[in-house]
Amino acid sequence: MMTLRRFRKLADSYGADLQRWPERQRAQALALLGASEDAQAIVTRARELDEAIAAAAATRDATIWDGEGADAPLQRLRENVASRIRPPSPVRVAGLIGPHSPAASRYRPHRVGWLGLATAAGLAVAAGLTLGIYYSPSAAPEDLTALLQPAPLQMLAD
Amino acid sequence: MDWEGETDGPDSSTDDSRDADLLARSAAGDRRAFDRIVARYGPLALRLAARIAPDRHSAEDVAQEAMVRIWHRAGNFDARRARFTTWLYRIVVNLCIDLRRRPRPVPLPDDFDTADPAAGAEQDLEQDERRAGLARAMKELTPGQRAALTLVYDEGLSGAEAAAALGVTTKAVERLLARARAQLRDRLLADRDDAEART
Repeated sequence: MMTLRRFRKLADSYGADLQRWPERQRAQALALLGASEDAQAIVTRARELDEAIAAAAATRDATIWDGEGADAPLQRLRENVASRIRPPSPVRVAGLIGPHSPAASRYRPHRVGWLGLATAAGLAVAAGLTLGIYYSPSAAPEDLTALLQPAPLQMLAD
Repeated sequence: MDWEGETDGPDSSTDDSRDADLLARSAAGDRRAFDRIVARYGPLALRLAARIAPDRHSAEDVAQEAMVRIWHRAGNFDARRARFTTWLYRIVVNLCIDLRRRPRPVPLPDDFDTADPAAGAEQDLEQDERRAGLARAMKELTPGQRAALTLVYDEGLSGAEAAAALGVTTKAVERLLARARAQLRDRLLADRDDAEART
């Protein structure tokens, strides 16, 4: 049998509607409610507060969107979310979306990213070649000539 | 994360499998599939956020951020472990609670730019004032208390389901509800005393 103390605690949390109470304790609560005037008084007080909360919640809900209705905020939500989300992989996007489709233009940043990477690599190679041509040590050709001289016969004999 | 207490009714299985399918497609980059998720659950996210967040602009921000997070984490969703709505509840509630840590602009006074009451409507006005007073008192609850009230009273979740959405125990949900109701009861009684003193 449920104690009156436990009954009051549940009413303090869930209110007068026993359908909100934990399912396992509902049958015991109903039995106590049928047998105890104190339990009935607790439910009566809880119902009064439930009604006040429901009325206040209705007032709050009616003014939430400032008379705009819920459709406009939903439309804004869809538009804003659509503008913020991007497919997770640019490689997959390139495979899924054709080059001339309107949607492709929205993914241009990914495509520009690859193009930029290729351009940067080309510039780096060109810069390396330029530095190599203009800043090579002057002794290099002589050293190279020495290396290309035929080996002395004595060394071959060894 | 504790998902105990999760209950799936027989009618929800079709919805759940459709949600799982849309989320799987979203995780693969299908933005149209995700737009269907937003169209379907946006009203719930907006409604929940509006009841917990301090104002409508914060509520819209929260709903938007929640949806973007779901997009990024769609691949992590496991329909065998939880219902999509429970996941959504949790994200929205956590974002609303995080709002408290950010600086907020000073709100306008409650009587700002209100219409003059019509003559002969004093009784209605008094009742409206009492409701508005309690509605303001609901705003003064902590985000956790407001979230518990909204999930159990407005959304019809059981204590265990609300606990799963809030990431706390069922006992903790009961404590949040009890404190919220006690605070609202005190406010209600104080308003009544004021009204009686005026007459």
